[in-house]
Amino acid sequence: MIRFFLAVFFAAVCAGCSASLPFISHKKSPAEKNLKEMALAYSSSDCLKVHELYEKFSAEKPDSALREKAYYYEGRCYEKEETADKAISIYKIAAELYPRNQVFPYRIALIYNATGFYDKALPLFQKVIDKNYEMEESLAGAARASRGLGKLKQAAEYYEAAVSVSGGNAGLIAEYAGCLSEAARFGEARAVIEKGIELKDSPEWAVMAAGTFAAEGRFDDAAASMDIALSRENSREYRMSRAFYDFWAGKKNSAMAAAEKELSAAPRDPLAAFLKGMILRSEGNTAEGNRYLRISACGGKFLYDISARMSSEPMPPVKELCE
Amino acid sequence: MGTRSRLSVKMRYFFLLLLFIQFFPLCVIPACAGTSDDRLLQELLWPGISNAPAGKRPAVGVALAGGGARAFTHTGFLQAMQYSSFPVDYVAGTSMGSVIGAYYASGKPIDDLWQLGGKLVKLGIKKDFFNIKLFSLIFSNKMMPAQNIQHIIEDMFGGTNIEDLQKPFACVAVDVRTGEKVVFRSGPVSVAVRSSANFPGFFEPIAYKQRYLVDGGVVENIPVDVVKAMGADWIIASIDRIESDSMPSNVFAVLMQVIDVRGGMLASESLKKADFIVDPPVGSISTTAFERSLEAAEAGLSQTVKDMPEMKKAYIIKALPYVAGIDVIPDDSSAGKAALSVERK
Repeated sequence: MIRFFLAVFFAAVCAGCSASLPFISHKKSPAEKNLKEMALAYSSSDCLKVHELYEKFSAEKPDSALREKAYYYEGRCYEKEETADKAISIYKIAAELYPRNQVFPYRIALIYNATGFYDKALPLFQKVIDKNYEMEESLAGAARASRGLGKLKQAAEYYEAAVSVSGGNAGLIAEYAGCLSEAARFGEARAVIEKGIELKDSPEWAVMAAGTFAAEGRFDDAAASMDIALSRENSREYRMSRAFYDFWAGKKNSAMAAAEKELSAAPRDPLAAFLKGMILRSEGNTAEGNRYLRISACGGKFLYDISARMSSEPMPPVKELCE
Repeated sequence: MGTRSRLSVKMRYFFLLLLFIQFFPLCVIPACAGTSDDRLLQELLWPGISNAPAGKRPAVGVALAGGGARAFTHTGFLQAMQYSSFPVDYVAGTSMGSVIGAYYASGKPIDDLWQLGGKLVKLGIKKDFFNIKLFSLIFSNKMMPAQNIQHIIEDMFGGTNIEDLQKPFACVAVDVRTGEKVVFRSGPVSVAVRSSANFPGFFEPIAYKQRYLVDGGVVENIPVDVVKAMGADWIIASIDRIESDSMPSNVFAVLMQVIDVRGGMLASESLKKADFIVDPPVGSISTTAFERSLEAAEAGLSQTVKDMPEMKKAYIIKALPYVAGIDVIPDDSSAGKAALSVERK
C-alpha cells in the first residue's frame, strides 16, 4: 500500500516537473518577441513600428505558424495606410500559405469592394460565406459586390441574409431598401423601410420612401412622405425635394412658393433658381425665366447644361456668367 | 537599372502632377464640376421624365447589334434599362440582336432572357454550325439548312406577328439577289428573326415573298437608321465589338471574322447617328461561343449600370423641355449643340 502511495507521489511530482519544464527552460526567440511587439504596435495603431518590426521578424526566418499572424498585422497596416496593392499582395501570399484561414481572402475581398473591383470581390466573399466566416460582413460584402455589378436580384438575396444574420442592423436595412429600390421593386423597398423605422429613428427613412413613390409616379405620396421628413429635420435638401415633387404632381403654385421662399433666404440658390426659372418658362414668362436659369447655371456642371437647355437664349460661358 | 530610374522619374512627374492638381485645381467654379446639387437635381428630375407618357417625351429607341453569342450582352443592357425605369419605346435588332429584341418586345420577362443562352445551347444551336461540312459545301454546291436554329426560333415565337408584339419592333435582313436591305416591321416574327439571323455563305437563304434573305449584319449590323425610321427621337445603341486581332483558326472562322470586320466598319457610320452607345468588353467571345452567353449578358449588365448615370443625364437634357412644356433652342443650333454636348459619347 505504502509502495502504491509512493509511486503515485513520484508520478505526480514528475508530471509537475515535466509540465513546468517548458516554462522554465523555454526562451522566447527574437522572432516571437518581434511578433509580440508587432501585436502591441498594431493595437496602438503604430504602423511605422509594425513595418519596422516586420522587417526584423522576416530576417529571423520564423516558422510558418508565427508568420501567419505577422502577415495579418502587416496587411492591416497597409490597409490603414491606404496602400491597397501592398495589402493585397501580402494577403495573397498568406492566403496561399494558409488556405484554412479565411481572414486573408476576406480582407482581399473587402479591399476589392472598397476599390470598386466587384467582379474580383464577389467570388472571394462567396468562398468565405461557404466557410461560415464573418457571416454578417461577408454576406453584406457579397451583396455590395453584386449590387456594384448590377446583379440586383442576387444582391437583394445577400442583403436579406445579411439583415437576418445581423438581427437588426439599421445601416444594412437602409442598403437593402436602396438595392430593392434600384431594382424597381418599390413596394418591397417600402416594406423593408418600415422595418428600418422600427429600429432607428431617422428622417432618412421618409426620404427613401418618398424616392420610391416618386419612381412610381406617385408624386403626391412622395410629397406627403417628404412632409414627414421635414417634420423631423427642416433641411434645404428636403424642402427642395418636396418642391420638385409638387412640380411633378402639377402643383406649380406650391412649387413656385417653395422656390421663392428659398430664394428670399438665398437669392443665388441654384436648385430654387432652376425650379423658378423652369416654371416661369413653362408659363411663358421667358425673360424672367431666362434670368433665373442664368443663376442656376452656376450651380454645377449638370445645372449649367440643363439650364442652358431650358433657356430660350444661348447661355454665356461659365467664366463670364459665374465668376 | 536604367528602366528603373526612368520609371522613378516618370513616377515623380506623376506625383508632381497630382500635387499640382491638388493645390491648383483646374476649375474652381462649381459650374465646371459636378456638385451635390447636380446629383440631387438629377434624382429629382428623373422620376418626372421616366413617368411621362410616351407622347410627352422624346421617344427612346434601342438598336441591338448582331454578333452571335456576344449579342447576349443585350440581355444585361435591357435588364439595366428595366431596373432604371428607362423608357424604351422602339426596339430594332439585327441578327442575334433581333432574336433578343423580339423576345424583349414580346413582353416576356427579362428573367427568361437570362436563361435563353443556355437554352439555345441545350437545344443545339451550335449543332448547325458544327454540321457544316466544308467539303460537301464546296463540291455539292449546296448550302445547309439551319434546322436547329429554325426550330428554336419557331418554338420561341410560334405564329406571332410583329404587329402583335407589346413594343414596336423591327429587324434587318438582306436580299442576297439584289443586295437590298429588307426591314421587317410586320408579318411573322419567326420568319423575320430567322432571316435576320441567317448566317450567309453556309446556310440556305430564307425564301419569303419572292426574296432570298440572309443575315442583316452584312448591310446594317447596328440598326440605328431602322429605329430612327420607326419614330425614335433618341437612340441608344447596344453593341458588342469583336477583338479582331485574334487569329482565326479555320476557314469558317475566317469567313465569320471577315463578316464581323465588315459589320464593324459599317457600324462606325451607324454609331455616329446614335445618341448614346453602350459598349461592353465582350470582344473575346467568339460568335458561336453560346456557352459564354451568360458571361456576355453579365458584361452588358455591368457596363450599362456603369453608364446609366451619364445615360440618364443625357436623356434628361434632351427630354426635360418637352416634359415641362417649354420651347427651346433647336438641338441643331450651335448653342443647342453646346448644351447637348453631354449626349454623345
